[in-house]
Amino acid sequence: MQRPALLGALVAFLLAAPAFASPLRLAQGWREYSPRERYNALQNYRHYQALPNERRENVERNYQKWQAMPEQERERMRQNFQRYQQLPPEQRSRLRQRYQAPPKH
Amino acid sequence: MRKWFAGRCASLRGDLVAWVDGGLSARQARRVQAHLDHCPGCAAVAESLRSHTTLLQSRLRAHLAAEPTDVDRLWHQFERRRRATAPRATPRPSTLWLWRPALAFAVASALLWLGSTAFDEPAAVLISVGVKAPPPKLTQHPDLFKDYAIIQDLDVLEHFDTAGADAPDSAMTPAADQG
Repeated sequence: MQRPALLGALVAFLLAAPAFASPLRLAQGWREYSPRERYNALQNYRHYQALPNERRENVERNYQKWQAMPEQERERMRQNFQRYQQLPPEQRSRLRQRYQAPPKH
Repeated sequence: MRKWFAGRCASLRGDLVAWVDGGLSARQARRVQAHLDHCPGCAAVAESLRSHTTLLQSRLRAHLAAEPTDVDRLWHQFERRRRATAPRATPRPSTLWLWRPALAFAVASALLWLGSTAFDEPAAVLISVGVKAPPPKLTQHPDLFKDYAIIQDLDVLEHFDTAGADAPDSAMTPAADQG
């Protein structure tokens, strides 16, 4: 009597597993971060929370682009970022004004 | 307070005989003396012990002067009898174990304090070390907030071509920015 019930539960779990796999994997990503990485991510999250709506939407759009990028392209962005960081603040500000997507209304 | 003082009396009275005989270390003797200065009960006991000891010593001296006695043999007999009849002393419970949790608590507090000063605030520390749950969006999109600085400026970074460029200024300044 118990065996069919156990088999049924196992089948149900296997069928339902893909539905839980994605959130689990994401949560696992957070757990894999070191405390320092988590702390930095938390600070970034707070910065994001404080942004006005249109800036937040811009970040969301960029995030979608980032997710769609192949790893090679992401690496190029990382290298660009390293160099971008070395620019004087006023030059960075000028570049932002020129290239950041205007808010959609 | 009275209870504490009574406990103090009980622990010191065990040392009174040694104190009367001059068998305590200087530090222990000072501790006993300091207690006797403030405790009339113990001072009375100490005085009684001192007078009895003096009386015994004088009688013993008188006895020894009256007739020659082998003191060493007498002493050995006394020791043997004392060992045979004296109840086995129970060791005083050590209070050292109390220090360990206190020390562990102090060290943990110090570490937490150091951590909180290094990380600015306790809540962020608790989230960072996994004690407190992070906001849901952080666990849903951890990579967004890990690479946040890049993603935030992705519009700008997409317009750079770093291939073959060494100097930061020339590499990072796109053609469009110069005109």
